[in-house]
Amino acid sequence: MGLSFANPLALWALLGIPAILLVHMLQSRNRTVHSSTLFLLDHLAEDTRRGAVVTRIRNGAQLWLQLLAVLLLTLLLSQPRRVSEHSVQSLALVIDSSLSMQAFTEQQKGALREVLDALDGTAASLQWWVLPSDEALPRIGAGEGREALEATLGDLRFPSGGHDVSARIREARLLAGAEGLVVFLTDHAEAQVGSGAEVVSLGTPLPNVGISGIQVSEVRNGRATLRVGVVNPSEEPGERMLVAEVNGQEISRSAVSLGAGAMQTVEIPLTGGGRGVLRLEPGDVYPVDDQWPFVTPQPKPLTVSVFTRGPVADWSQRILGAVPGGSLGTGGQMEIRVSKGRSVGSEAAGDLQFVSGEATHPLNRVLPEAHPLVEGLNWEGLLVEPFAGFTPLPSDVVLLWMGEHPLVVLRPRNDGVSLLYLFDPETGNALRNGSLALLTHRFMSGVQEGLEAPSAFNVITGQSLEIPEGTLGFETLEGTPVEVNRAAGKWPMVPGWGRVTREETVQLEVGVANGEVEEGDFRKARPRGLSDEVVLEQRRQHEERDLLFPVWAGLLGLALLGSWKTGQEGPK
Amino acid sequence: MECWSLLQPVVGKRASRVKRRWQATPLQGRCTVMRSVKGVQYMIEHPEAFWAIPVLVAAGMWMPELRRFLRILILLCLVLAWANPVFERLQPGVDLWVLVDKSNSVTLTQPEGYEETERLLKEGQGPHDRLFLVDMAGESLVRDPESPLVLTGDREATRIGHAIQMVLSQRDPKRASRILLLGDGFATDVLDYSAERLLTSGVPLDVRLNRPDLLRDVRVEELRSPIRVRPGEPFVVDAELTGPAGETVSVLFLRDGQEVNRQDVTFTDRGAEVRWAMEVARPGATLLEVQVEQASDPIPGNNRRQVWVQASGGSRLLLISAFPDDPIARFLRREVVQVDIVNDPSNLTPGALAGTASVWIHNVHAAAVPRPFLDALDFFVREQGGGLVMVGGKSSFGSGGYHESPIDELLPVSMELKEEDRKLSIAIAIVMDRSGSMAAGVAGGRTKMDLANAGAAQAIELMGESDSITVFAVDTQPHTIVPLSRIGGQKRRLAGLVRRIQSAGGGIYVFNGLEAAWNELKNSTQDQRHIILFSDAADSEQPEGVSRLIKEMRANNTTVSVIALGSDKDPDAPFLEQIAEEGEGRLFFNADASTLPSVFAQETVSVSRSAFLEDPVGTQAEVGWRELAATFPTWPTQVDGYNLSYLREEASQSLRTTDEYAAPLIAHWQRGVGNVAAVSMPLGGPFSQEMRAWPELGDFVRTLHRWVKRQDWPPGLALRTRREGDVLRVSLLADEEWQTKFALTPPVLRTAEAGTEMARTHPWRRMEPGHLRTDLSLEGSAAVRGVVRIGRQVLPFGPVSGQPGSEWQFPREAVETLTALSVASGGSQRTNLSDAWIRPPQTAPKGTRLWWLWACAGLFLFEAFWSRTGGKRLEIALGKKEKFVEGKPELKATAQAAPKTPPSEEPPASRRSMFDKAKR
Repeated sequence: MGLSFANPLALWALLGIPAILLVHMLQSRNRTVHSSTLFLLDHLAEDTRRGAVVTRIRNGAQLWLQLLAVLLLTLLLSQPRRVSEHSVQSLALVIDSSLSMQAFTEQQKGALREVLDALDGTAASLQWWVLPSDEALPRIGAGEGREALEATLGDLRFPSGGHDVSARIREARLLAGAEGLVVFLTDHAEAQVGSGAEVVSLGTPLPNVGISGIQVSEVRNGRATLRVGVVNPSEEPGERMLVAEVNGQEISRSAVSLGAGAMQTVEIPLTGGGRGVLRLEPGDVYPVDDQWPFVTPQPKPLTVSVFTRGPVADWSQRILGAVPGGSLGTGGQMEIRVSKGRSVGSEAAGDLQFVSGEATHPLNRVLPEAHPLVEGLNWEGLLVEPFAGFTPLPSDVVLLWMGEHPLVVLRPRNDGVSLLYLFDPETGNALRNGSLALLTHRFMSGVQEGLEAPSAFNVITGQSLEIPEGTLGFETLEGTPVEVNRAAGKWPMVPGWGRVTREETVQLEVGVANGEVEEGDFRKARPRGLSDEVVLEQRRQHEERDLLFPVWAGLLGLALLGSWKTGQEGPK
Repeated sequence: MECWSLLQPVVGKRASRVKRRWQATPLQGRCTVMRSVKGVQYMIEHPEAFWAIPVLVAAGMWMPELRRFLRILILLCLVLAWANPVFERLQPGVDLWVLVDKSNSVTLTQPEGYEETERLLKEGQGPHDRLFLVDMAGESLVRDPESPLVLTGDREATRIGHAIQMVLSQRDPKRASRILLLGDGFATDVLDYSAERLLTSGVPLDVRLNRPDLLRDVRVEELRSPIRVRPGEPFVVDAELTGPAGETVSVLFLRDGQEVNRQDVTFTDRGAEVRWAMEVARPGATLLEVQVEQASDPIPGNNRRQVWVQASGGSRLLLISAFPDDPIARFLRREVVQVDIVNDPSNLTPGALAGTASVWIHNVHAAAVPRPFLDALDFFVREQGGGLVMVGGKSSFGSGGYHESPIDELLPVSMELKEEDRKLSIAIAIVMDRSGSMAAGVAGGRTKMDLANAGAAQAIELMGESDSITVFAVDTQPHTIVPLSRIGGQKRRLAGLVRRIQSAGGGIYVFNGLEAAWNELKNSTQDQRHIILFSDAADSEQPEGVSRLIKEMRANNTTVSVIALGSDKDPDAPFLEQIAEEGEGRLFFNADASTLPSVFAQETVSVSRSAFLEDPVGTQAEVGWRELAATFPTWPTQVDGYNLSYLREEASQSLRTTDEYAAPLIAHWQRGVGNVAAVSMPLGGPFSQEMRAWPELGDFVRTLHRWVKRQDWPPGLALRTRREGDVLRVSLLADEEWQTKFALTPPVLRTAEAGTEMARTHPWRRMEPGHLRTDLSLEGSAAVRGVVRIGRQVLPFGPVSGQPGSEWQFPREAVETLTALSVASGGSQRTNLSDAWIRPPQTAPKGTRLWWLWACAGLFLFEAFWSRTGGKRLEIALGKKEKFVEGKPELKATAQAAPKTPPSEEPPASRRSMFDKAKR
């Protein structure tokens, strides 16, 4: 076990060695020597010649014993400490589970080795815990000994984006105890984790070009346009080839040249549907943003039948035109029924009715309830005459009031939902009111979402899972199938494609891409090691006093006694 | 006793006598002995070391070389180093610090208080024990037995951690101490740091807790309202109440503190729900509050909840101006800018910044603007991208007390007049309240008195060498701390005198203090004189005769400003307001004592180191205007007056004076993502004729407004904030174009709590393409303001209120945390009060081993030298050099002694060499 000194300044006491040597260079004090003849004094001539102050050092037991005494005194003064045999170094290692750490996967072990090398000798044994910084992810492991820890840190790759690390740091502190060490291993040296954790960074600025997002226009006549954003969040220019594939066939190849910190949008024409992937070639050290899976969006078909004529019909058609996948029906199969009249009731999934009767004057302003359908809408300019004779059912949800009169009511039914506009749309400015149009659009979109019909859309990794009944399958970009846990309620954290089939019909096709686009920015990544002060502090906690003090003190006493015994007579 | 058997050989025949005096104790597996004499505790860590003494005595009998004084001393030091004697000077008895919870949650629910407990504690007090009663709520104060309770500050808080810190700072380290907490045990501050401090100081924390009765509690469970609406848009506010079924209570609905509705509500088994329809007509933030009135409610503190509603639409300009018809407003309204003029800023809150694109301050003194509003401006500018413009006047810049104010660092000019630019000197008298309330502890273990002293000392340091100062500390009588003295080169000494003022109990007798200051100031040679009265707004006495005295002062060109500790709602606030008004000075209310040093600095610079120059001065155009506009205006050739200030590094200026100061007239820079401008000449009121006659003034104001105001909300982005319980859900919605930009400029969410104004960054969670979300905890009672920044684009939000009354929440974890802290410190729950006086075990004292070792080393070296040379070489080193001549050695005498002393024929015996001896 290594030795250290609690009072290293006492090493200055070693200056006692030259002091002792200096003393021995001084001429010795006079002694009385009895001699029968003069010539016997010749051998004393050397150190008494002309009364010289300085003389040659003479090798002798006294000198050596005095030097030994100085050494022993220095040892005692510097208070040697040794690490306790029963001491345990607690180390809680919190690994940044951001995607950006994937650029430094190979460096992780090296960084850990440096930490462990620095902590080597701070205690007799090592107890450790390894946790990802995202508290949504499970602990990686716990154990004892350096070898086990190094073996645990294999090829760790985490999928998280931005997340709060403070909860995991607190957990790590609880595990490591008040005196243990909590290390946050990340790629950004200036990461703010608060007190209680030491930041160790393995990051360096890296060149990186990546895909930052896509936008697919609405499919018209089987054609669509794919707009791809490519960014270079680094400090040097980059050139890549953007390759687009659909259903395994390359459909486009575009050269992209980006200056430092630049962004470019590439447009790619799409024909037909299916699974596609965008690739940047050649790849770089951060492969996460070099590939982007997608599907050609296909909204659920929504048929709206309008059972009225005139301005209400025109208004309904205009709104429907803004709903992707929406079409106007002529009766028969329909998902939303738009009507105007006194009766309330419908068999369609969605029912939008203007119910009017004996009206009151619009003396009061419109008052919205807190509901997602009316959230953020401005009703200031709406001028209508509310239907005074309407009595809401207990299950009705009033969305808008005018004075004491309900103005818009949402009525849940066993087979769908009705939105009741309790005013005459053709008196007043309702059909010119933007908020009413938005409310209607929201209602239509909501009904469309609830339909059971084939659809395709793009999501991001970890996005909430809202999928129809059926067999759910998912495969990664490499074609590896991944089981999706419906109970978890989220798409997997790896890019790929998902599919739901029922009775051999594809109900849902999904492209799942990485959405954490800012993780590819390494411009501020900097390295940082464990500070010497932290290591020293850890060591101090495990040190115990040198129990050999009586031995050293005894030896010192003997050295002193010996030097006095072998030396000349001291002054009386 | 087993220990003694080990030591028997050491103590020998005197064992019984030693045993009587020393107590043998096994410690860490070793046998140690200790003794306490007159409160000083001695301990010998390794008494077995004394075994070496008989061994050395035996060695001495065999070894004559050992029988030397120095050598015995060396060996004795070595033995003592081994034995390691330890002593700790602790006086007898225990200091018991009793923290008595005086917060509202205790005093209103337990009206009987803790008098009986205090009486029992006094009965159990031993002859050497001391009892300190500390009244504690938002602040802490050691109770003076001879004066009534003077605890000031917030009673809607129980800051136990703060009280512990104050006790640890004030305790006598030479005495053993314990802390006993009497209260409900629900702390409103964080106790994390208290554990470490208690452990290191060896002070146990005992607790004796009384829990409140929650069964008949009536409370406002939830208050629901949209956080953001459009101006004029109606919305619904829902309040959810709980209480005993069948009970009827009155429910009040308040808007910005004004009651707008009151109704009676009867609770059912499921509580009760009340609704109101509301609208906010003008942009800005409105505070809505619901209160329940129930006289018999055992816990009245949770009977209210509040919520901020922000009405946002377009961007407005907030003009804080001394002029009702400010020309700035006229010019900007022509450009269809919504301008809200505030002539009385005393009611401004940080909520006024909601929906505001820029704030202009035109000739309004800092003392008139509430401190929380000034504090909030930093986040408004740096983080939320708001603009700030200060326009000149006699109540602007340094003259307006903005030096060292919260916006000092924002302005592109420094306001403190340079020493060489000062033309007139001033005599200032500082009258310091040193009454009992000044002993109350504040953050950092310091007292209000410490902070006031620091403020007065800072005032002295800011004064010029030709100024004069006098300082009085006042309780019932004035005490001269600094007689009238010219500052000269003695700033440090004078400041040192002021820093030593201590609170002495009683209240402040204002008349006595002012009279003493005035009598001293009369002797000054300066024409300009000023008195700064620092006083507690809750404890200022003796108003009689003050008006007459101030009239006399004003007649002799002396002004009086008041720095009041407390708020304008305190009982003596009107008295202090009257003094400031009659003294034609300024009045600062400071509920937060930590701001005192900066307020003193503000006031001092305002009266002594600022200048509004009243003579016309020429102007010189600079290139800085290019940063604001493409074309240069034709600047006025001169201005009527201006505030002298100095351009800061990195700031730009567009116009400067042509006088010897070359001072900036129009300066500007960017702070964070916001822009700030300083216009040093007035644009309205006196000294603005030239500027108002300038034909391009309108264009100038409009251009400045366009540059300084926050950028408009960028298209393609939406920010939604929704409150769900104590969580604020912030959602950022972005279109595809923005989503691709996020890779290069990711959105950053920053928030700041009112009061601290320390900005924090929060990570986002991606919910779906273009949808990012963060849930922020609103556990505290402070309002939160925030912003989403995407590069230079900003999307501000807030304030969003926390819930008032954290004092009344009673979370179970709070008591658990306190109990754990008590156990960790070595304390416990005290049911038997006599145990409160048990003397705690002491922390490990320091040994003396190193001292003995160093002594041993020094003696050893000296002994080696002495043995070798017999001390003669030491004489040489001291200057008595000897010159040896072959055959005729002689002593070289000193210069004075040599002629008188005939050379000796015989060399001194001690210097004879053996060779000489042999020859003889």
